[in-house]
Amino acid sequence: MNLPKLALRNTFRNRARALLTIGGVAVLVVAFVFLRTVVSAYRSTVNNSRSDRLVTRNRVSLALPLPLADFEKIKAVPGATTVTYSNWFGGTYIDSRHFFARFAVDPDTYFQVFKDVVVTPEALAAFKADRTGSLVGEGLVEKYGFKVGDVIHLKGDIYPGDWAFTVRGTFKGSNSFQNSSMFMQWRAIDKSLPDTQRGTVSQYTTLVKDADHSPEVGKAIDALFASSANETLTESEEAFTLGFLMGSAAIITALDVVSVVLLVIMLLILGNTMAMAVRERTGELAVLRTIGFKPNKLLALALAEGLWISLIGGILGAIVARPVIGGFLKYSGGFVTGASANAWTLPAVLIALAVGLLAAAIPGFRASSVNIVNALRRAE
Amino acid sequence: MIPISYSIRSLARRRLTSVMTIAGLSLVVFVFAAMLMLSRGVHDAMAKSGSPQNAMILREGATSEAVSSVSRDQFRLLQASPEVAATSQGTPLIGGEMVVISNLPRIDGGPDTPGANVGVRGISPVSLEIRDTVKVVKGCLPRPGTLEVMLGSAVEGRYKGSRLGESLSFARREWPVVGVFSANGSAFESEIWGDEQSVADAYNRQAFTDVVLRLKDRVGLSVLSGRLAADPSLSTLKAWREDLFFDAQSETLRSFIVGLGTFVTVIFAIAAALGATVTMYSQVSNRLREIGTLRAIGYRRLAVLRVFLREAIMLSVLSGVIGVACASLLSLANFSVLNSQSFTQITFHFHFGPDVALVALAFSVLMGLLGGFVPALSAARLLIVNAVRAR
Repeated sequence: MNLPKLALRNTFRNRARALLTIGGVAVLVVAFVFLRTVVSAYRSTVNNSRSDRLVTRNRVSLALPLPLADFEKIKAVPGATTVTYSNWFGGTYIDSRHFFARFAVDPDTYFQVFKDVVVTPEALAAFKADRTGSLVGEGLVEKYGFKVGDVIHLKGDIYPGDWAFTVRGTFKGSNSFQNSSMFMQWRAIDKSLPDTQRGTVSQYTTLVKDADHSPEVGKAIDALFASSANETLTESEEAFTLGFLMGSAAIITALDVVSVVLLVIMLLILGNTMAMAVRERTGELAVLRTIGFKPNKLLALALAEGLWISLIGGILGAIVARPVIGGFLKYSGGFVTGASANAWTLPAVLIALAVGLLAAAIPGFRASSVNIVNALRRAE
Repeated sequence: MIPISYSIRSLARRRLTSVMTIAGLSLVVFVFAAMLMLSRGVHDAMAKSGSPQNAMILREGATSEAVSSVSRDQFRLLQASPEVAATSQGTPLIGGEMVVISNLPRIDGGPDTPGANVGVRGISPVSLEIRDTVKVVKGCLPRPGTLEVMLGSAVEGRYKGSRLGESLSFARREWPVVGVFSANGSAFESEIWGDEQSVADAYNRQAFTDVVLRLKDRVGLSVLSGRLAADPSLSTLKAWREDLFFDAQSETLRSFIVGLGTFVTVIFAIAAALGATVTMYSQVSNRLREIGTLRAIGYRRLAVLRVFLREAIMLSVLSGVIGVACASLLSLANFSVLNSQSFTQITFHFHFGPDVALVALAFSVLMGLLGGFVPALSAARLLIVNAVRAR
């Protein structure tokens, strides 16, 4: 019998304890994968933000608009290739628990600037042709089952009133935030405003020729409006997104802390089980030593046992994690959308293995340094 | 009864196992207590912002104060409402307010660090009488007609210039900080308060964002709502009970924090119960002979069951006390997040109280009992012959 096989036999000698420990590891792996998935979803939004896109908004406050007249001026800035504008629509779908981003966009330029948003030419044409049409991200399709022809009813706040938008197509974005966004036509919402408030946008997005020159282009845009009534603040999309996520930094830190705590608890449970296993077998270990097993072998035996438990528990947890997390995210109130647990299952199993190895280390050294005479005497 | 010293010695003899179990359980209790404290803090911040005696009037459909608007004409009509309470001098307790979002640089941020969105509330002279939880704790009130501002206690020291005697710069103006106020842990503490007229000028706004008023009595709200709906010049407005409005403001954030908290707690509870079971099983299997001996000298099955449950409870109480003690230190920390409904930064406190301690302790004991019950039962059911023969 080889060593891994012997370790596996040892693992299941106390079946109740082995199963309980494996169950504990599995549950903790599920929780760990879940937390990492949530954090990755947050971070992916930043990682997929680009530095060759500039976001221009009102310097005073996010809630204040900019005049549409700025559009032509920004287009003329050297280094800018394409410019588009969009408005934060806000609004409520069903109730405030069903939160997702809604933007009123200019369909002619938006997808030239956001080249990472993939939309079929047919869908785009249908969207352009319908003033009350909309495009929805894949994540929303997954969550709400929207399909072409469906009418989405929204209650407006920034743009008061009851709104109905017909889905004209879907799109695939490059991050979870984009994938859970909805677009409608800027013209449609602008028309709803009283004459005095028309012709305003919340932000301009500029695609620059060369990402290395983004800061200069940004400065040139801000210089254009420096002494106007509506001063602008231009930053890279990366910095802009980061600004939003920094608001949630406390949540991310808390999730990071809790993930580490999970691993510590896993370490304690596994360590406890291994300590018991080695203590019970003190006499037997002494016998193994007398028949010629080297201390290293006994250490390896204990480590292998720790690995077996964490491997079985880890794989079990990884298998359960996908459906459980998928189900949870569906009802999470839309804070995290478009996240998938798949990316974290393999790392979680590997981490569980490392924890198992670590947990078996101290009991393993105890096993390898067992005092033969004393141990045999105690074993009668 | 088997003497209690027997249990203490048993736990002390298997020190490593006992310590690991206590460490694991107390971590679980710590996280559980932290979740309780945070959700209490969120509740404090939102529900305590408002009073059931006050009403807020916003534009119909507005989900936050910043996107609402109430015109000055509408305000004048509202001022004459009979439902509005008055001071002893006869001034009606109703004021228009101007809530805007300003972008402030963080105190620890460099020139390229993105700023934070902070709510700025322009208040009317009667606002403080209506919102009586607000107390100036340092400095004084901003004078009407000036750019002076006072800071909520959660804002103090968080952004550049956010200290008494310094000045904040936003909306192309310098705002001297003359005071710091507390508001019972509510979301107001995350705001900056200044004169309504100055804020309106700085942001080039005419209309108020919302109107706050003190009701004469609680039925006043439904009467007021009825009149808003009936009057064509007021029908675009909606009246809310102030506490319910602020509660609704945090719904998304709260359901996220509470949902996540529940998930983490459930997982930890399962892990803790499993860990306790493993420990107690080993306590039983290591002491088969002892159990046999106890039974042989006349102790009943129930006494054996009790002794193991007692040990489980001792472990869990000890863990509970350690976990709660560590969690209580968290009340010194706070937790600042962006509320996606109002787009402003809100700071929550971890709220510690005797009830949190009791619930967390009860949770700990429950975990101990859950984990200890099956092993204790199996110990009690052992046959004496088998038990004394065991090695």
